[in-house]
Amino acid sequence: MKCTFNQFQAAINNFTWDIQTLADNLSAIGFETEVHDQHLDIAVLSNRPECKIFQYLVYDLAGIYDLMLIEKLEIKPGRKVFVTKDQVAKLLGFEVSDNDYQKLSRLGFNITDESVTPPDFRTDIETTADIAEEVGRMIGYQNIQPQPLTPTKPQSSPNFEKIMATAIELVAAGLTETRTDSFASTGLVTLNNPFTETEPFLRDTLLTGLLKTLAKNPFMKRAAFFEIGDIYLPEEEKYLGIIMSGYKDISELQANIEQILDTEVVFVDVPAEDLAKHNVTQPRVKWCQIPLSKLAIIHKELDWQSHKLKKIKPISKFPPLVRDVTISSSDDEVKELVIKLPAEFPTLLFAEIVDRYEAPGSTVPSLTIRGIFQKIESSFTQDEITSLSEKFERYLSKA
Amino acid sequence: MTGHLHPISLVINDIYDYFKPLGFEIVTGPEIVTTEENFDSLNIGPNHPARAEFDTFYLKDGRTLRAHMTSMYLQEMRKRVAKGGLSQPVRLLFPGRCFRNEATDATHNNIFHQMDGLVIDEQTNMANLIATLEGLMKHLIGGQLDFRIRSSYFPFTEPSIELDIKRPNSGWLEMLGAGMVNPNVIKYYGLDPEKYQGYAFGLGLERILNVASDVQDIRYNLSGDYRYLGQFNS
Repeated sequence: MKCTFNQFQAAINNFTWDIQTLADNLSAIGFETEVHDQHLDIAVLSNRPECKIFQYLVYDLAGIYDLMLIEKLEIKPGRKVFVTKDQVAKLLGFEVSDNDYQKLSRLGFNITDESVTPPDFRTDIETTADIAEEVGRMIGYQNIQPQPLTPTKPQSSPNFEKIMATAIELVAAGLTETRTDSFASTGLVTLNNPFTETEPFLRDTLLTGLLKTLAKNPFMKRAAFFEIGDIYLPEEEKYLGIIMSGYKDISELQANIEQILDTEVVFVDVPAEDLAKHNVTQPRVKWCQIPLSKLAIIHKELDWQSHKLKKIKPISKFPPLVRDVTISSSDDEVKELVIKLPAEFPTLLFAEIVDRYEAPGSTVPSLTIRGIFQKIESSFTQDEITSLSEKFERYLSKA
Repeated sequence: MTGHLHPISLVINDIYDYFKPLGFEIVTGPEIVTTEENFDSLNIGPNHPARAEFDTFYLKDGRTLRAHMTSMYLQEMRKRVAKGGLSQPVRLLFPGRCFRNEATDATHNNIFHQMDGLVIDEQTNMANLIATLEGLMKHLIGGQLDFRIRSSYFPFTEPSIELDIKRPNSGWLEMLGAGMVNPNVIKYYGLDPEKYQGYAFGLGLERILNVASDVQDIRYNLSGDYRYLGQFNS
């Protein structure tokens, strides 16, 4: 086989070898080469794989870039694939022109109306899909005109919708969803190749993850989290776990949760040794765990619209400052103030209303606003904490 | 009081919003799967490196933790295939947790989340796939987007592609892999690949958060850190 060096160079983008370097490198892998000015004679010495690959490369390039080979290498036929142009078109989703289909011949494929026979070194070509891929790559997937899928009758997804509905309702009640690690230091199902020796089991409870979530947020004295996840008992089953801390009286929240889940929920104190083991410092920690199979499907229409994801602020590696301020004011006035907070407080990560209480006979509710502040470059100094806390309280007291 | 849905749940719900009008159903399934479900039924050969213990978690009884949501296809297809045929077209989504035995850093974790999609019927094609993926990206990411489709390779799809996106003033970002379901896989389900065809795609949900919400460290998703969770819409 012979080809001009200029054609070869033109065919490969950013090809930087000179003709002698190309000849030397080809010789090193078993080709016999002879350089004549800007012509390069290349002879295939053997059936070594790299020789086959080079043949494929040159034919592939020849197919795309219309290289003229001076002498054509003899191609042995491979395994015939029974396929028609229409079958390829059906898979790709557009009409393949005869011209485009015939380009396969430049790759050494032999084409008839009912079959395509690739070269013997194309052992990857076995099916209609493989031929479609060759055609698609030559045409360019970018050039395929997208065709939207035709809508069909909406389907229900009962298990997923049950999980989603449960989560949405709990969030509306003021709980935050967490997701935690499946690996554990104790359990009933052992991994053969655990990631770490200290956690060779699959979790048999959601409590550990929930405690770690609390421990991750030591400045949230009052908190309520839940997780819906799989545990292994040893059979795998999906559970709902709820943990709360800092509530003097959980009865109202508990009643809300029971109404949502339509089942009795028993919260128990987390043993002190578990709190200590996971470095949980919050007071009055209670939790419960319920198999999802025990919960009824929530049928009511959910007031849910998907929220577009927005860019979040980076999270500092230094501890945050969390301040809760309670004021008596109307909901609208407080919401107005909360919206304007970021402009007043550059170190504010976010603020939210975390509690609302209406005393009997009172016309104005008490609202608790939580502000979470952080500095990216360092911790807050004591003076900064004092100053920021006072400013935050003064600002909100304007309501 | 303000509660917050986990950002992974937000992404799953957002994806479902896009696909529900198209007749898709979401399927949930177990995290422990057989090697047949994880590999054999997906044209992943016995010597494929993904099977190695440095990639996949194994239980003592030889089963595995699912390495990708594609492992959910087999059990669902077995429910839907009868007498070599489908009673209705298959349009399924599979969101869930996946496990890979690899080192963790800001962009890799041994526990992560994926959403797979699978369509099988008698006519869905590559052009439908490309339209689906471009529409999904516009829905999730929003704004002005350019798309690039590259040829790729996955054992369970043929042809296979990868989709990249480009926003103004930024470079190309690889977003997901997809392709037409490999005829060997369709045959494995007991269907005739000459009659049935369809597409499959897999999307990393942490990837969506990285691009749409600028989440720089995927480990936040399992951290329980309220400073992270609380920034997402309730």
